[in-house]
Amino acid sequence: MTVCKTADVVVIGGGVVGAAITYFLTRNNVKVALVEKGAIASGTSGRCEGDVLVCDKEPGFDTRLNKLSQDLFPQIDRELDYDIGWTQKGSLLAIENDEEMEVAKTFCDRLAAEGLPVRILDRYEVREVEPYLAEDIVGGMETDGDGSLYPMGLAYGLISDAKKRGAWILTHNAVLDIKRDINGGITKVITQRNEITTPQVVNAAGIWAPVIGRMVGLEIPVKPRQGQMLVSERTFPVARRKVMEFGYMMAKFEGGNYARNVTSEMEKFGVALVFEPTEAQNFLIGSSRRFVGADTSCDVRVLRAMAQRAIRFFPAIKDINVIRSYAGLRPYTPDHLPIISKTQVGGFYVAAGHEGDGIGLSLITGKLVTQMICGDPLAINVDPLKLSRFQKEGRASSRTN
Amino acid sequence: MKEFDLAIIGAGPAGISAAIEAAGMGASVALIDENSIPGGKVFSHTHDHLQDTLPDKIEKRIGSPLLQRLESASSRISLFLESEVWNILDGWIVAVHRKGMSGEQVKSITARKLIISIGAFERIVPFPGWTLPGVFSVGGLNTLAKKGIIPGERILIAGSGPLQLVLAHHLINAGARIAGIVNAVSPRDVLARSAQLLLNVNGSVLKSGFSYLFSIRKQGIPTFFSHALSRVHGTTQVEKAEIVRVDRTGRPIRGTEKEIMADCIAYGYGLIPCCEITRLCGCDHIFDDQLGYWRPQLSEKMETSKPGVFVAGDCRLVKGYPAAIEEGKIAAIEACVQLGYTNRQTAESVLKASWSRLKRFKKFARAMELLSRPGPDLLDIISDDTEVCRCEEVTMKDIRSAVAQGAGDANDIKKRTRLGMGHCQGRFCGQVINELIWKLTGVPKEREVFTPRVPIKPVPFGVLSQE
Amino acid sequence: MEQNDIFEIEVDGRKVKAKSGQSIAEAMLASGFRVFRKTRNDAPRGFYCGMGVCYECRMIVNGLPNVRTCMTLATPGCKVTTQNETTMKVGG
Repeated sequence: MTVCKTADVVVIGGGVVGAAITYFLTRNNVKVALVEKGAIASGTSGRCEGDVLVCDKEPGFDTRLNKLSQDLFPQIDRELDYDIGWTQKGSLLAIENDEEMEVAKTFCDRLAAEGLPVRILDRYEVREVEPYLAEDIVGGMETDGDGSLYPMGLAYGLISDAKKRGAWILTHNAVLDIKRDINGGITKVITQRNEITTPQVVNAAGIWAPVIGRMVGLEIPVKPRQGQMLVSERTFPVARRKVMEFGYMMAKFEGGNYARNVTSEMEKFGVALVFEPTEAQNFLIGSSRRFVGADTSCDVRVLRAMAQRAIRFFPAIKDINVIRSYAGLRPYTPDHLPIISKTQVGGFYVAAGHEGDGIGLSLITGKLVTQMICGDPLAINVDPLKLSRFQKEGRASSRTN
Repeated sequence: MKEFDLAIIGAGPAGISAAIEAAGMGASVALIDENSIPGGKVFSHTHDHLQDTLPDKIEKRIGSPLLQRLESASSRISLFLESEVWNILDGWIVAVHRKGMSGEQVKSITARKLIISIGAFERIVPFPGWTLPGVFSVGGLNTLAKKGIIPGERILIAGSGPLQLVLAHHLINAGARIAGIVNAVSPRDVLARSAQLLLNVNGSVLKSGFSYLFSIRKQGIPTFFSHALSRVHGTTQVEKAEIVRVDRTGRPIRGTEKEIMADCIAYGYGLIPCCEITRLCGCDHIFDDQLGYWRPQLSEKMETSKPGVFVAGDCRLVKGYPAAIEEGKIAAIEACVQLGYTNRQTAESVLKASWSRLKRFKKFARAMELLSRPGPDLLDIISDDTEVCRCEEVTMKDIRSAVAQGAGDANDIKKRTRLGMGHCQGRFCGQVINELIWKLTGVPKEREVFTPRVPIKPVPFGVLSQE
Repeated sequence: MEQNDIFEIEVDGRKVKAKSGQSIAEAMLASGFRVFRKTRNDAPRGFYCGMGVCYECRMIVNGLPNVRTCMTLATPGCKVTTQNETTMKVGG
């Protein structure tokens, strides 16, 4: 039996992005129906790590957007009646050699110019803060304010709050179609068990955003980019906080001129050290990148490359057990920036394509979408995030893989 | 990398039998086991004090010769001990983690065919206090007892299943004091199902069974049928136990609680097949309603849904070691037919006798299952403070509140509470989580399992990083 | 090593007898030890499954944490310590 409902806005996608949008809209007295095809946080948000970082962002718009979002977390942590495991211990980018150190110093200056609390540590200082780092690491870039949390907890907490304030949360209830009137404006969302009359839809469906987009005739260039993770057993502390390798960002930003000292498999699978200690007394090791469609199975060659890279930076972990691996699918866009945008379809918004920054950007996405829908001034100019940037000839940004 | 015709994972009765058979037919065999000696749980080292008892004579009559035949076939069978399998790739590449200090560092073993004979493990239902030191699995305490190690002055055996008798026998012979045997099945059901058992058992098992019963009667050990453990008390270890009467569905009858002084508990509801490696290989499994657990789907030829992957022994269906030995033989012969070391005609004639013996064992297995299976309402024993997930200390109260917040399936509960995310990766809590959720939501959905992921057993980063 | 060789291991600073072929856990249980570790919530845990799947028996052996004592053979002079997971603080 189809149950009919009416809502001011239908948010499609129950991951952290959809959850944040629902939270902020509901707090703004907007009647929201959140529709999710599976369980809350069962997609990408349930297969990631809980990063909220600015240290690895491109100086400029990227860092500003991420910093705005990061600054919202402490308050959300206080407001939510749910333990999201939020800690703000800062982050460290480990610098492998002198060539990287030169670039790191410039990078650090640029971030500092943006007002970020960053500093370079030399080889002695870096080992004072992270004693388990390999002997030959020449230094690090430390960023205060970077934090982490339990991503699924964030989704549950935001949704729980929204639900208390009157949002409808519909799970295990996939969207089948979106109906429009003769002028092209949204009228209804048809799901497996409901018909929801609404003038507005937010497409926060992550890697499935293109599927939803096609329901209203829009091409949304989001595709899944697989990342694998290794989970350690609970053990004694190895690193105090989030540690990543600086070299990877250089490869990312320098347009491929810099070559890290890595194996061909590490290169092939886009492996770069990411070390995240968690509240559960264990740590997560990442990261990797490859395009394999919507496949969430792990390839042991990728796991091997990640384990090797992790041991290179933290030799002590070679005797610590891995208890599990998993893979998640980042919603990737060609210029690595998300799409937070109105569209040419009246009432249809897109909030997807956050690639590896979804957790960190979830809150600002929620806020911006709410501001767009309610007609409030935007926290930041979102021109770089428009869907239409992909519909022009050429690319809006020259960032490469 | 080492290459073989056949890799056998698990060197218990089924695995050893398979290895001997296959090697005899000319196949190159790798026999892999995580323990330091072959023999599995049943033919593991027996201490001097247990020599010459009837059941052990029987085990020795079968066990010793089998181990000897393995020894004499050692030139054709490569034995990989202290080797834990952590991954299997198609084609078949078995990744092993060699834990021993000495010996060659073998990282993987390639084989054209696989026989999985990893045996069974214990079925549990969590109860208040089950995580206290001094609560042992029945199999765990049995292994200790066989070695003459008695970790308590007053031992209570609880749960269900014929394994209770085996354990009691070994404990008595080791000089232990048994405070009682608590069995959740009613006497009437025990009699009825035992009759079924006796009709389908072979002579040696029958003799063992009677011998166990006799020694228990002789000792005057109090036996409580239709009772289950409802709580175990103690600050740092077991100090006393509380048992409660249960009805035919296992529901505890409040008000019938009794205290029993005990400082050591052996607890289990029979055995269930270990499916982790068959799941890793991608074999199909079915939920066996009578068993109350999963088992791999097999053809008559002991082959799983994955061609070239065979299963034998207790990890297919728990039937005891005589059946396991028979099945190992069958699986090996079938694998050798596929490998070309023998033809179908020869195989058929050899296997005819094995097949008919197996029929009886199957009935025996069914009777054992009925004697072991905990009633569905035994879950009512789980109190709010019971840790359902031992590894992550997730209590029933945590699960209840996750369900109240909208979690409706096992993977959802896992994400919200971390149940199943610890070292054992859901081997214990996974046994009951579906039923618990259904009880709480009132909605019996599709049964979920936790997807097996690499590594299936924890391995050091150093091992994972090796080429 | 001869079968039935008896030697000593050290558990939390105390000398404990062990026999060749025994696991560390077996030697400890034979000597009356029950508590092998403390969970992060300070709950005592000990030997449970005896077959290496539950990881309850994990202790620090010769400096290495998370070693399953039921699956590890006792060797002369090996040093074993109760693993106290209340001190496994995140981030040091």
